[in-house]
Amino acid sequence: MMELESVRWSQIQSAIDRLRSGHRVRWLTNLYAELQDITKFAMLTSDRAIVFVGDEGGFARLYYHAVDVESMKALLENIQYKIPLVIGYLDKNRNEALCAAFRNAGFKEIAHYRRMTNAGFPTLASESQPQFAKPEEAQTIFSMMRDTFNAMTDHLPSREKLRSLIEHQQVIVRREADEITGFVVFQIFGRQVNFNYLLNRGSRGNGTILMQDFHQCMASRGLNSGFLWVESTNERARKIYDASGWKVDGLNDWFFLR
Amino acid sequence: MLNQIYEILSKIRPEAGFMASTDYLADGLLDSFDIVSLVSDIDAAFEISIPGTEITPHNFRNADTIAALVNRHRKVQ
Repeated sequence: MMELESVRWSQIQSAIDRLRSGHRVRWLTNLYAELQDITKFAMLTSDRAIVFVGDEGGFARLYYHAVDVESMKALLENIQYKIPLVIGYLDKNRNEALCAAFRNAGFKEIAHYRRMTNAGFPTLASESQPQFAKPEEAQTIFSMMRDTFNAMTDHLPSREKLRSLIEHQQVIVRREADEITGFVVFQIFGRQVNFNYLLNRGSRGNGTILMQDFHQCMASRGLNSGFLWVESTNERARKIYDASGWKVDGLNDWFFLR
Repeated sequence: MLNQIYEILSKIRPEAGFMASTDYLADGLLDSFDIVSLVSDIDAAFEISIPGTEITPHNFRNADTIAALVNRHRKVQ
């Protein structure tokens, strides 16, 4: 077994660049963006693959950049780390050899999400005025998210990120007797919105109002398209999104845990 | 070169209208998952190796910025 070595993000980038410049292949990777919120990393390399982990507090997320499945398998099977490891694997068509490599290294599949997109949000005649979260509600919303969603699979925002979203009016809330009973958290990328989280603990109809508030908010900002991720076993949520015009677009996110 | 870039883009997202957009990410024609495939295809087609620090939204905004990126690396290598 091999211990991962503590490194900085810049060292990981350099290692990936070195690997990339030495091989002209279609890379096997699950790294799609710079990891800005993570500060603690550890890495293991070979001449054909890099595996590194980012500590997310209580567990670490594992990333890979490899020439092929075999080269990654060799590293994965030898990794030893002090806390649970989670792998997110994003793809249109599932690579069974890759999933077998995860399983052979002791990882168990824990969740599967499908991406849904919507290129035409419903036009509303509603007069509803969305209420946005206040800065002083950040901690309550943060705790509700941690209690409800799964940090390993739902990519929950840090406190700082959530504060920033509240500041930019990207958290809609519903309140009953001054208590928060539900919210929608979203992020805007250009002319697209990522509908990140919907939490509903309110009375009957609260979820529908939250969706209407979201659509109202998008209409007022001139946005009418976006994407979301729904767990494949969550039929209830899927039906709600289907009814609002969201469609599965074929991209999947599978999660493995060891 | 632009035609070759459009050809690569349309293989990744056949349904997207790349020629009508000037900002693929903002218009939702490409996402970060597509960019990983795109980088591999661009590397292979133009025999370059785009470094990680250059894989930024700005460089993949449209066919012109992608062409500029390719040209920079063709000159370097």
